[in-house]
Amino acid sequence: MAAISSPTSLRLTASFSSLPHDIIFEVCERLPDKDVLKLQLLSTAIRQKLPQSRLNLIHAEKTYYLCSHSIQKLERLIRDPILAGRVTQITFDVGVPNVRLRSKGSCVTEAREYPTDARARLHRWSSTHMRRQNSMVSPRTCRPSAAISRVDPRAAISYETVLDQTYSLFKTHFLTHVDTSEEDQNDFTIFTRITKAFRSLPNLSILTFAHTNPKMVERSEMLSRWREYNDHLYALLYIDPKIELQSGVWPWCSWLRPKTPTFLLSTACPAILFCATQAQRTISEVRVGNTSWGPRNFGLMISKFEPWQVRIKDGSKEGWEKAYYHWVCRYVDDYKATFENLKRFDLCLEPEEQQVTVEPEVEKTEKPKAKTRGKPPPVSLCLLTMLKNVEELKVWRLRGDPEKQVRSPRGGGFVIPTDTQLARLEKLDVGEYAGVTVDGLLAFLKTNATTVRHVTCDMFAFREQIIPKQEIMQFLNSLKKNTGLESLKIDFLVDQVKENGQRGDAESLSNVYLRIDIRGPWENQNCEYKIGLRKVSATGLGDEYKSSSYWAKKRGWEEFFTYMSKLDVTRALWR
Amino acid sequence: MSQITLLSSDNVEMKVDKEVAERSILIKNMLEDVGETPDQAIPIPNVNEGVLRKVIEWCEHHRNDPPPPADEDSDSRKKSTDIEEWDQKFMQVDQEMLFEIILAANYLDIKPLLDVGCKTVANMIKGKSPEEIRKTFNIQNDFTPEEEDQIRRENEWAEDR
Repeated sequence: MAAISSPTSLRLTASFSSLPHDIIFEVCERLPDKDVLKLQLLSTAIRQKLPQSRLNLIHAEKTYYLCSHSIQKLERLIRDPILAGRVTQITFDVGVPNVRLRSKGSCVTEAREYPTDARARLHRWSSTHMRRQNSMVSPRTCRPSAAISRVDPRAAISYETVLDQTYSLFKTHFLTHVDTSEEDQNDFTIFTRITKAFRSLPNLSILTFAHTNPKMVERSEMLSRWREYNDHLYALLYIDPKIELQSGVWPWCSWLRPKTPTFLLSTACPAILFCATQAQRTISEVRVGNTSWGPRNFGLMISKFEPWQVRIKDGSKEGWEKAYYHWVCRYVDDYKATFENLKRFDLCLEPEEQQVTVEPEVEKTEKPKAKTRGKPPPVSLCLLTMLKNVEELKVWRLRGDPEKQVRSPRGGGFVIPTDTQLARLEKLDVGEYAGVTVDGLLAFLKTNATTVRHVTCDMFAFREQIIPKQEIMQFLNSLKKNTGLESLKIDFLVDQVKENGQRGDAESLSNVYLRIDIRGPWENQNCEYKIGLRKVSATGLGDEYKSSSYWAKKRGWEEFFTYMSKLDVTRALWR
Repeated sequence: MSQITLLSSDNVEMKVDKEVAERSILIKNMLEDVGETPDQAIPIPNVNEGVLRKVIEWCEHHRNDPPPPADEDSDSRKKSTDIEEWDQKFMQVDQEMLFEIILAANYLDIKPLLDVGCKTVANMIKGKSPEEIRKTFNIQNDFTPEEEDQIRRENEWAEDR
């Protein structure tokens, strides 16, 4: 029997250092980034065996807050051309790592529920800090409040008094120690610095925007960020006796909250995209990441995609409208160059942006004629310029206040004018609360029929509009005749049914969705058609959705369409 | 149940159920190419008796496991803490044996065993400082202070935000 060829990787004595590249790669695959980075420090031999692609990826993605302290880190990074050359993607987090003190009522109410060990710790902390405060008289320290002055720290005091003292100490600290330099900074400065930094990042191609929720990231990471960005709290929280429980649950997560962001997505994103144009970068993707914690007015506005601070700066003396067109004419070529090869754009929209009727004459004009001056277009010319060559467009709207949502969007029924031709658009993803109409979506797809091949539509894309089956069939028929789609995944709300509540004394509403999932060229006999129904019961806002569904697979358009025409979408068995 | 014979690098023959040996994709493919159960022993060069016995022990225990998922990027495979209790005990060997098992699993193309081995090593690294890792694996630090300082600074930047 012939021997299996001898492996070159096997050694006489195996050790970690002697492992071949491919095994080291496998081990690294099972390690988080921070541990892979540590392996670089073991020895020159091991460093050489580490997967360069992984290290490049770790160094390629950076995240910064939109504050001076964080942007300083970016500025330090670009001083090293090798590190700067590795950066391909930057996420700007509009969340704020600086904390504020909550109201006394909220803090004290929560503190009344603390467990015994937290109460004891708080008592000890309060007594010590009171003694320190009473023994130290500093000309720069504010006078303790009357509530503090009245208390004799040696006396046996109630928990309520301890809470009162502690809160007063915190409040005094925040009034006297919080660094306001960040707030005093001119907004222009930070974007000027970002532009300058972008110029030193030759491979930057992806910009992502997010608003992280501190409660949704790993607690230790959140605490380490809050500590770094709030070092003034050192004296309050970290000198003995420590006030925090080891878990860090309190008071960070209870008494302190992140400050209100300086920027929203609607201000940060346009400003930073402009930075990219002025740094002459080529951007291939604009993504919107985690937005779970954004305020209601966090989203982008299709009418305002120019950096507001630039607009004010350029046009404050000339008047808004004139300045707007002047500005667009001045920078349109920069936008064209930067977004010439745009592959993907995420359009996360503001929930309550006013829907306005779009005038095609204005929207198509990149350099507006003189007669259109004086009336800014309802869709930003900057946005249209950026989207011109986009290949993959994802649009959705933040949920916002349900009471204020526009139930029937006016205008073309799509998020941008339906006759906007995007020459390279191949994939369209319409996400939740987009607020489009079936007609609007159809019109937009017809305009871009020659390029669009893949469409996905979320079950909440049409909001709460009940769509008759006949209209859905017309929509599908029209798509087949007028477009060349290769995949379509879409849910239509076709019925709402009242159901008895769990206790039988209340009724709740369930939505019934008709689901279409088509994969393959529609004319092809092998194209897979799936049709289904799904009932989703919402027991209340934010509650878990309970759903049931079924699918039927069909081959060929005729079979699919016939099945659909016979399907009773308001099925009696679900009533 | 048909059996085949494996020959270790130190010329020790070991009889093993064909089904067990076929946990090794290398052996399985070779047997498929041959078309019938070979009479002669199959030489496994550079895998010594001790290591081969351990590998066979693992294959015996996992003989009825379903084939590993085709998705190479499956998260569960990469979660280094996710090791079955039996496998954890199996991997409680000296470091030389651990690395020999990993090398043998790689060579014999036994992906689930390679996975367990790599996870075990990853767990020995996770959360430790570079100094602790060096101590664990008896690694000599041959960086100059300047080189080490440079890497540390790079690492700090990598995690900055």
